[in-house]
Amino acid sequence: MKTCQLLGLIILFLSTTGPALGHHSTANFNFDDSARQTIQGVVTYWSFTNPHSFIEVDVTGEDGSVVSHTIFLTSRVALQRYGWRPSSLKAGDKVEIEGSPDYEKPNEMYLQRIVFADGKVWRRDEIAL
Amino acid sequence: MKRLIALLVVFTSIQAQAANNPAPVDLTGVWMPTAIGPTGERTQVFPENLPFLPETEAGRAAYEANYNPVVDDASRSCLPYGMPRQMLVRAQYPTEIIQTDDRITMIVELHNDVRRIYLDGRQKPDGLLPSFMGFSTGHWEKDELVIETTGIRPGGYPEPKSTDLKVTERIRLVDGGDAGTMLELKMVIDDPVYYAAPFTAINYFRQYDGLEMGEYFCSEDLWRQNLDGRTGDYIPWR
Amino acid sequence: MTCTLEDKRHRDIKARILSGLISCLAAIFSGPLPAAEAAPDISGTWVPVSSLSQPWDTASLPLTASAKDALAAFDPARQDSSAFCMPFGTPRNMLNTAPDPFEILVTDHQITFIFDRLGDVRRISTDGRPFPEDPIPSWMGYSIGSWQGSTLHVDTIAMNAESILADSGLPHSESLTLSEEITLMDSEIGLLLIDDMTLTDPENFRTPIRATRYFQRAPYATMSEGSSLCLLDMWRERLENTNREMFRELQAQEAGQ
Repeated sequence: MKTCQLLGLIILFLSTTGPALGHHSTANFNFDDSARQTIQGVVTYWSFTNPHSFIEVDVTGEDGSVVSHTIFLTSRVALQRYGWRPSSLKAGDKVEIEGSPDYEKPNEMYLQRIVFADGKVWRRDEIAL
Repeated sequence: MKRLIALLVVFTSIQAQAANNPAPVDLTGVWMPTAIGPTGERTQVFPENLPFLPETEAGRAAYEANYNPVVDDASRSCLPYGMPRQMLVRAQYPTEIIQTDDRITMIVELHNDVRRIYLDGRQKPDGLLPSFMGFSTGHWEKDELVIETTGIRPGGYPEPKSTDLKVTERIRLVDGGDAGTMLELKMVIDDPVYYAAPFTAINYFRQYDGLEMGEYFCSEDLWRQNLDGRTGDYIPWR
Repeated sequence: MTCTLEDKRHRDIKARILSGLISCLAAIFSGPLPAAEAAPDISGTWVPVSSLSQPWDTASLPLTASAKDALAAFDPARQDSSAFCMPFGTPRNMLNTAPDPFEILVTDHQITFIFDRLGDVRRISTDGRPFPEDPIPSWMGYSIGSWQGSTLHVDTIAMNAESILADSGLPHSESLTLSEEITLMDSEIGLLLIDDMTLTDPENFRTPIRATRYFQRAPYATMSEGSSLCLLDMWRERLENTNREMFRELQAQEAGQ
């Protein structure tokens, strides 16, 4: 934990609105704070991988229709340093996710904050992942 | 008799010292790039007016002619930055340095790339194909490791590089205050095809207790998709 | 007579003592002071000697029912990591008998194996640290090694179950533990590095299985950034399948070079 906290403190200095990723394009996401959206739904797929991770979540609308959303995160190796594990998410988990939306694709976001099934919260903006 | 033995002792110890010349510093460790330099201030990797874009018509034409949709499309591929960019990133992925007698090996977590810097005076073999990391030789000047790298794979990613690209680095350990011992990497990038003049870049690295290298394999997301039986091309960044 | 013989013996003894002293001093001053039992130098570039390494006869292995099922259902296109430029993983990286070189680097706290073909990097901790309490399974697992005389003993745990043990698809679980005895031995074909491996995985093998692999020095082998070349090939193929126009541009460009 000490290592994680140290890393977190240093990366706080580095934080920008965009993720401190490698070369992969995240230019398609709107990182303005005001643009953030929040969804609640059920995880259907969890890819804990390099170079990017992603979560697929089924969101049920008021009319009962189900829409699949895709939420992106940084690399597995980086997330793992901040406490994420393969078991952090699984299909069936009820989650709340706040993210930066894709400019063009309405159901795609870059993860900013997640409330896991067990109620624990993880924020990205403190450590710019 | 005693004099003969004394002479022999002196002779063998001189021989021994000549054979056993240890390096002045040991760079071995797991090093994380840091934007905060040894004085505690933020540092810039590149100078203000960096001639990264081709400045001449010939350079621009060469860049466009060399554009490779496999390697140069950043959003599609996860391929090594190669030299020199590999050593200049600030993204929080560490580099492991392993120092042995005849070489310095660097393993860069992003994207599991390996650099070998030969200290034994060997020359670049004839006909060696260009590679992402190039061919590096190094020697010590007092406490500084001086490295020359050529043979870097030409292309347009992440910045234009020609076959004439030559990178010279000076690496040393510096006192980083509260951050402990830091590694300072100063680099001169010299590519007359794409830049009007050589320019200098600088990066700093520090250590953290318990920081370990992780596994970063570029095709892991595709592998996962396939293993999970998900068909179709759907990975948005591919 | 007696005096002459004694004189000669004395000179002989003196000569022997002197030459012994010289070679002793030379040994002491020409290198690091020897440890109680010197660990052999396993550093360098090595390549498998396929003629000496016997792959398993799968039929003769003590497989459990679930291992047999997995083997029968194995689909190399979907389940062989090397087809995706993913690493072999441990222990397949050591079991591999193809002539793929690897480097061994020895430093105070760690012995590092760097494999050229797919980018496997094994890090064996030799600083006396214990295994982590809650290891996350990975492609290489966690390895701890110690020298026992001239044998390097390595224990490895937490190897993820996505790696297979052989081209046939021989499976292993996350509970697999690997025990290795690594030695050097002179032979008619030169110095050999020998890895005696014992794999324990009750989910898949009713009793532990063993394998021995032989490697010889390959000082002129070129390390070729194999994993990057693999990725380039893979992307090229995907481009061909997904964007024919761009692929034709690439081909034209390559033809022009």
